[in-house]
Parts: sequence; structure tokens; C-alpha cells
Amino acid sequence: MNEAAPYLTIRDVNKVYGGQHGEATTALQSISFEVKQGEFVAILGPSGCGKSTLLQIVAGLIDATAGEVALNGKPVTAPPPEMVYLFQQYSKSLLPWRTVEQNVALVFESKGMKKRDIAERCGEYLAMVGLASFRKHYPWQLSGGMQQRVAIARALAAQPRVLLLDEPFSAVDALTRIELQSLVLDLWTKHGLTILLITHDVDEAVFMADRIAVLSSRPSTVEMMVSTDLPRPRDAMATRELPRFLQLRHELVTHLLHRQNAGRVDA
Amino acid sequence: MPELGRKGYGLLSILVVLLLWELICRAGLVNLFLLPPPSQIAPALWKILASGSFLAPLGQTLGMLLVGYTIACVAGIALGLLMGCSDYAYGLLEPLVEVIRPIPKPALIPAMVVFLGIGAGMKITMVALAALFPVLINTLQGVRGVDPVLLATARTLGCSRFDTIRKIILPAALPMILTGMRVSLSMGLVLVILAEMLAADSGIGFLILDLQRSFQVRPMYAWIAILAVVGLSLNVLFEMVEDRAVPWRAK
Amino acid sequence: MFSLKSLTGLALGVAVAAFTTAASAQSVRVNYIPITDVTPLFVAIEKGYFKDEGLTIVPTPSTGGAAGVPGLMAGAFDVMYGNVVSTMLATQQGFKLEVVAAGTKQFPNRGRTNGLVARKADGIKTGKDLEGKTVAVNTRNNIIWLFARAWIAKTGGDATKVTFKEVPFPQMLDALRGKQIDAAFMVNPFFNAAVNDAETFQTFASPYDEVQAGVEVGHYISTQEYFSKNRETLAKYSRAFRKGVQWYNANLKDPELLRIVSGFTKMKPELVATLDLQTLPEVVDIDTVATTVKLMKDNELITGDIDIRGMTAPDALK
Repeated sequence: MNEAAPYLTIRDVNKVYGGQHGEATTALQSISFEVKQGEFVAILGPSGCGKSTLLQIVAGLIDATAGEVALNGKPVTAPPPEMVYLFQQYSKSLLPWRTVEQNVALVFESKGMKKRDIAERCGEYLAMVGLASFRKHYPWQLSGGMQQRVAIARALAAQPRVLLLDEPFSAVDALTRIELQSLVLDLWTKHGLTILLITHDVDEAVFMADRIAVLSSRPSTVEMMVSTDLPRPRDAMATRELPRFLQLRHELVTHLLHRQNAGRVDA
Repeated sequence: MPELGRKGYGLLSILVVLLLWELICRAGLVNLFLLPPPSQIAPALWKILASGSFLAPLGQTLGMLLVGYTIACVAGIALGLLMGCSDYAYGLLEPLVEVIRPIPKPALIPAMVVFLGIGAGMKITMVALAALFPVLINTLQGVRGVDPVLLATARTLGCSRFDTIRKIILPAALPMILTGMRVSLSMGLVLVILAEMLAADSGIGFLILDLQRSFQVRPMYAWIAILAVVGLSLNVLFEMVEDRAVPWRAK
Repeated sequence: MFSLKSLTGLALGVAVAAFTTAASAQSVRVNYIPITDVTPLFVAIEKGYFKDEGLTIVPTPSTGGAAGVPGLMAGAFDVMYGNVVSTMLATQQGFKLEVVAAGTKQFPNRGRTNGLVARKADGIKTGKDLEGKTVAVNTRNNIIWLFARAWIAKTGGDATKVTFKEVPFPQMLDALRGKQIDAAFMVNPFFNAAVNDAETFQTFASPYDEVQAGVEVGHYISTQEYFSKNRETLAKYSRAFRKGVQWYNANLKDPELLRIVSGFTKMKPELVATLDLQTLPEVVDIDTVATTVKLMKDNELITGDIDIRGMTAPDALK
């Protein structure tokens, strides 16, 4: 891994809505940061600050008003094959008329593979997320957490280099969240992925990431980049009890609370 | 009371209506030559069914309906898909659609008769015209109503435009398409009967009018009853198809 | 716009007027076909013969007897002009009808007042020529239809191979011109209007003459119920109507008559002047009705016998 050269660069990304018929609102104001290959970066920020917008711009799904995103030196103007974006509304992203296996198969279908091979590959990816025995089920028959796993399996099947996760665990219960967090870290290590994760949960950001980009509220900028400096592999219980973890958590929560209160006073 | 179940109650209400009808006739409240009681219509109905004489007109009418309906569905889905996926096509076709759609299709029958005469071609065209629009509009709305999350997921997973249409847009729009097709089926039946009444020489519509002209009121009502059963059966059949094709509708 | 109160008032006013009109013994609602056969009715109205008897006539048009009978049975009108075939068909089905006045009797007219008309260019001559083509009749299952079919059979054609389309008399000319139909059994005033355009149209058959000379074609009927409840009114009606027939027969070329015809047929007076009007009977001829009924039996339109005299009002016979 080349430590020096950034793999994913986000430079001066600016997103403005409206302006033609009404007042223009600036969602993102000159966002800039870099991600190295194989890094795990969390994006932390208040609701409505445009985190999803930012991630979708990185994914190539929407255009920035100004600024540039580059992957491995090439500008991102359309969804690149090396990147997969996972929606916050994961259950809406699954095709309800297809089984779990067929959802994953979607990725393989236009590649001219034999049916048997497709089934085999789907089985592999489903096994990675622990859903091998559910391949014939339909998405509506699964719990939220399981549906999330299907989305992850499907994304992995596309063999991306970069995974963009938009608040993937905010809608599941605490225990499922811990399981899924471990799963994602596992997959990240195994496949050498680069991951950008949006979350509003400080714990989660600190637990999972190498670095955390803290965004302000609208118009958003990167207020600070924090390195977690925590040892890997991370452990669900042990890591959370490390002094560094607690200290970081304390700093970040204080910062966010303070800013929230300051916002209230100013308003 | 709930033991009867929903279907049981439906059947009961129909029987009650028939009973009321019979009683009203017997009480002399209506002119029996204009509205005969079910007890007089039933023998006429039986005669038609037992003799098999219902098969030819039924086959005629249903045949016209089927051909026209198929044309309408294929055209409606294709156009709806095209207009939903292409802004250019939409801009081009939408004014045309909006002008023709509100015209009550029965009003076009006399014009069609001039062009196409009174044979199969006219009937099929009328059915196709009437059935086209519900399918088209519903397909269009179904296509436009596909969840943007699904579409964006297709893009991020690298699906081609063609694959997106085939594998995501069409199946996602299917519930609405089927609804449109169900409405169209009923409308098609109305139009084929009307076309047969106004300007044809065979089929159920023609027969009903002819029976009225020779004042054979009871067979006329018997045929209307047959029509009612036909309409009901078509609907039930369609719902069965719907349930199998889009089982995820209710989920 | 309109207040609820004023609308209610309007609705009530209309209802009262309608009810009064319907319930008044002085008012008779008459349904007619806009052809020259019913001219005596309008003569009697215009010349005040009905008024002299204390009657107000409310006329409404229809396309034919087959269409009018249900209305009669439903009580939408009291008397109607219809054709003998439709009346007999209805009687066979158990409808109780009464003939109250004579209507039209076909005297041999060698194609001067009605017949089959086609476009000249098509060259249709026989029943065989009509196979596979469309013939317009005002309604199916009536006398026009019956005689057209009988004529086709008589001239070597198979009537089952001919399509009969329903077109109201006033629209037959346009339908023929517009090629929606290939031939039409037309009556006056429309028949003469067609034939006068010798470039475009030609008449090739006179079914009434060629199938059975002397046909009781049309008459005025009411329900037996109305007849039995309104003998007095119908007696007055008969008297007034009879005077209309007499005046009509005596003044076939009178400009006033032409004006009356133009009025209810909506045809231009100049055109009406070219019409060949034939005399109309004052009484019903039971024998010729019987002949028509026999023709219906031969064509399997009715089974069993009909008591023609029993269903004809005495005033219509004497």
C-alpha cells in the first residue's frame, strides 16, 4: 500500500440547491479531504447537514455544483465500477420480487456466466454475511438486520474497491448493530476495501474508523479530521473500554454538544 | 354471524336482491313486459345454456375482445414504458395522449364505422382504442413511480440502461400495469358490446338489441345475465393472475 | 349561481307541469316516425281538429315501431304510430296492444313512394346482388325488414347473407352517400329526395309491390289498458284524426299541406313539393293485416294465431 499517494480525493466539493426559482441553499461548502487506499473513514455530523449528499457525490450518483472527486487520479462523473454505494433505506434497495439469492445474482447477470456458476458465486457471498441458508427467502421475509446483510452481500458481489455506507446501522437494534459492525470490519480486512461510513453515532465512528471527518451543519465544511489511533483488530467489548476510546468519545461528544448549544444560542 | 365469511355475505346479498326483484314483480309494481321476474328469466336462460346456442355469440364477442385487448396491452405498455423512460418521447406524445384520452370512446364508433365498416376490424379497433389508455397511463405512472433508491442502486451496481428497464423498472411497475390492464378489460368489454349494438351483425351486443327489437324480453335479460357472469369471471380470472404475478404487492 | 331554493322551485314547477300534462284527460301523448305516413296527425293538429274535441296532442318522434313499443308499454306516451310487424311480434310476446286508428296501406305504386335505393354506380339489381352487402332498415324485426328479406328471397338471394343495419329514415340518404351502407329501404319524404338525384342514386326494387300487393304497413296503437280506461278520449281522438285523414286525402297538392309536411319532417318545402304523396286509408282493413300476419308466419317470425279483430278498436273499423 502506497502511504503517500491518496486513493480517493475530495476537493472543494460544493453543492447548491435551488436558485432558479427560489432561494438557493448551500448544502455543502467546499468539502475537502483525502482517503488512502485501504482506509476506513467515518463521516460524522448532525442530521440534515448533507452527509448523504456528499457521499452520493463521491459515488458519482449526483453532480457537485463545484469541486472535484477523483478516484485513483481519475475524476468521478458517473458511478465507477470500483465503487458501490449502499443506501440508508436498504430495504428499499432490495428488489422485492426477487429472492435473496436472485438479488445478489443481479450483479452477475449481464456477464454471460452460466446459471450454475452464478448460483455458486451468490452462495459464496451470502455465506460471507452469514445468510447462506436464507438464499431462497424473499426480502420481506427477513428482519431489518438480515436485509442489510443481503445489501452488503450484493454490494460485495460487485467486487468494489470502495464501499460507501450511508448510516447502515441506524435502523437496527443495539445488539444487531454490534454484530453488523463486526461483520463490516471483518469484510473490510478480508477484502482490503476502502470504506467511507456515514454515521451520527459517535461510538460507532470511533469504534470502526481509522479517521473521522467531522462535518458542521449547513452549509457544511469539514470542521476537523481526527485520527482514532486505536489498535486493530477492534474488539466489540475490549476496544470500547480502552482509555483512548473513552477520551476520544468524550472530546467528540463535547464538541458536538457544544456546537449544538452554540447553534441554539445564536439562533 | 361471521361464520359465513366475506364471500358468503356477498352471495347472500345477491340472493336478497333477486328475491326482492321477484317480489316486486309479483306485487305488480312493475310492468312485467319491461322487467320480468327472475323466475321467468331463469327458464329462458336455461334454454339458452342447454341448447348450446350461447356458444357462438359468446365466442364471437370474447374473440373480438381478446384480440383488441391484447393489441391495447402491448401498445399501452410499450408506449407507457417509452414515455416514462424518455423525456423526449414524453414531450412528443403527451399532448396527443391528453387530447385523445378524454374523448369517450363510444363517441368514436360512428367515425370508425365509416372507416372500417361493421365487421371484426371495427370492433377490434374500438376495443383496442378504449383499452389502450388505462394501460398506457398506468404503465407511465408505474414507471415514473419506481423508487429512486432502486434506480440509483441499479446505477451504483453498474447495471446498463437496458438491464435497468428490463429487470428493475418493468417488474417494479408491474403492479400498476396490472391494475391498468384490469380496468382496460372491463372497458374493452363495454366497448365491444356497444360496438355490436350500434353497428354489427353478430355477437352478444347485437343479439341483445335484436331480442329487444322483437320484444323477446326474457331471453334478452337472460343474455344480460350471461354478460354479467362473463364480466365477473373475467375480473376474477384477472385477479388470480395478478396475485400470482405480483405476490409482493401487499408486502 | 342558482340558489337551492330557486332550483327546488323550478324542479317542482316542472314536475307539476308534467304531472298535470300526464294526468289531464285532455292531453294525449303521441309517438310518431317522421315520415309522410303520419301527415294526417299533424294536419289534425294544425287545423285544430283535436282542439275542437278538447284534446291537446303532445307529439314525440322515434325511429320506428320496434323502438317505440317499449316506451308505450312503459307509459312514456299514450298512442304511437308503428308498423304491423312490430305490433304482431309484441302481441305474440304477450304485450297487450290495441289498434286505435288506421295508418298506412300500401297501394301499388310502382316504386313511386318507397323502395330499395342504391348508389347508381354500384349497379345493384337483384337480391343476389345484395349478398355480402349491407342494407339499411330503420329498425330490424319490423315490416320494412321483413319485406326486404322477402324480396331478396324472391329475387334469388339468400337473406342470411345480407347484413341489415339499423339507420333512422332521415339518415339513410347520408349513410348511402357516405358508403356506410350499400342499399336502403327508404320511404317518403326521403325516398323521393334520393331518387330525384338521378345521377347518384337509383331505386331498383319496390318490395311492398313485388312481394305482396296491398299491404297494411302501419297503424296507430295504444295499450289495451289505456284503451279500456280512456274510451271517451280515444273516441274524440279518432274523430279528430279521421278529419285529418280526409282533409289530407283531398288536398295532396295544397301548399298548406306541403308546409305541414316540411314542418315535422324538417325537409325543405321545395323538396317536399316534388314528393309523390299517396292517399291514406280512413279505416283498418282486417284482411290485409291478416295477409301480413301470414307472411310473418311463412317467415317464421310468429307461431300461432293472432285475434286481429279482437285487438282492433271499433272506431278504427267503421
